[in-house]
Amino acid sequence: MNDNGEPFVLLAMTPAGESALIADHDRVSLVRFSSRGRQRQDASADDAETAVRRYGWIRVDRAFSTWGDLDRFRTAAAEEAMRGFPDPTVRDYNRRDVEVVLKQVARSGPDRRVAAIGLLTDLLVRCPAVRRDDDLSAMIGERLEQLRSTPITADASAMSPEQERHELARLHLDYGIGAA
Amino acid sequence: MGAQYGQLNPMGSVRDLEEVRLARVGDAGAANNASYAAQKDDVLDRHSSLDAFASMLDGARPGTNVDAHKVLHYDRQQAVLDARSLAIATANGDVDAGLAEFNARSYSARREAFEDLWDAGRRFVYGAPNPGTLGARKYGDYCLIIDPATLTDADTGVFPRDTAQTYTDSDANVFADLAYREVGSWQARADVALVHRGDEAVFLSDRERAELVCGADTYMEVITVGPLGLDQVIILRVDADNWEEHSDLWWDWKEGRLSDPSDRAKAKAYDALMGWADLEIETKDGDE
Repeated sequence: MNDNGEPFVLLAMTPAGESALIADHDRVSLVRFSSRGRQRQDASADDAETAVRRYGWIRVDRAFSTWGDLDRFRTAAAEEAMRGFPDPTVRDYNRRDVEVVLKQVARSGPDRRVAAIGLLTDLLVRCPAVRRDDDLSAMIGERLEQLRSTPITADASAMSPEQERHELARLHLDYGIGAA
Repeated sequence: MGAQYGQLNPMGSVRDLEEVRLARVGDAGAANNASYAAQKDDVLDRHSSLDAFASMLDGARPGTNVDAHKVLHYDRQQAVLDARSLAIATANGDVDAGLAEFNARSYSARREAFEDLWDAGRRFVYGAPNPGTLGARKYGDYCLIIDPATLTDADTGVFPRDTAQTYTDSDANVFADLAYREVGSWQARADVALVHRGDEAVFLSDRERAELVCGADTYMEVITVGPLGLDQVIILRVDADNWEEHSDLWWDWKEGRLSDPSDRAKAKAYDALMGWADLEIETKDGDE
């Protein structure tokens, strides 16, 4: 329950649940569900109308006595909406998937170095699309060489060589297999 | 102004008038070009400071804000879809189920009443003229900017306000004559803005003017016939912090460490967008 003993009303949400319009006593809020914490901003009931009418949000209009109940409903609805988009394993990756990995590795900082080496190694070993494509294999090999030869930047997120070996051992060949 | 198409009762629906050749929305807009040009001159005579507002619109491109789920469907279909096609895609290609879901939405009758005024209206994709902002970010983190040069002039129109709300009433009666009088061509977007939104814009800052034509609460509409190919989407404009969160989630996803479905949706949307060919990703400070 909120401080006033009023229920929360989930007015509308995006199909995947990353944003929602929620009435809480006498105010309506736009809530963004972020991995860095919930972000709230003032909104109105009219916003819910616009969200549904113009942007394809799901109208819910359902009251919940606790925030936890509301959040469980939101995540269950999002899970349902995402059912049509399963997680591919590395074995299923096509050329486009691999190219995205290469782009993401290129734009990521040194704190992703270990994870990048593990992911690229996994692609080389396990991904049929890579194994039958000499160009892709060469691009991955080149990137791996760069990553291995690049000194770890002296920042707080960098690991010691021992930690790095441990992480690589843990990650090696695991990518995509246990993806939730 | 006053392009006339068919013999329509201004308050009637054309849904059953199959003998009427419906106008293409861009053609109808082009028929109003001369009238808009003359009216625009009157507005600028009264408010010369609105030159800058016109320039802002001249530099705008069609944009639409979408959520993660839409991005994933667009990616799967390799196209920006109209609402009915999206509903069908969401129903895993089941046309009857998708259309039934679409028709069950409370606003669909009004949207349909407006769309049935035009040739191919049920395939309309809606956006706003985006002058370089994050658009209506409140409703969708991903602002997709379309290359206007790839749009068919005859199938692309500009309206001064939300079309379903402006040209229909709550019973889905349609104001056809008004819609035909107010539609503009994409080329005339600045004139449409000056004529219909100029008085509101006079005392606004540039930022407020951008919000007026492409904001969350007020906007003009750009309408074109879909579907659009993903190669017509030339820019993704997104909040910089939000995009970095997406990047972090992508790594967590690849390492199998995401359990929240919304986080997974963001990671997958990021993955999808990173794969769109030749898409320029433009990150902006959300406070700009």
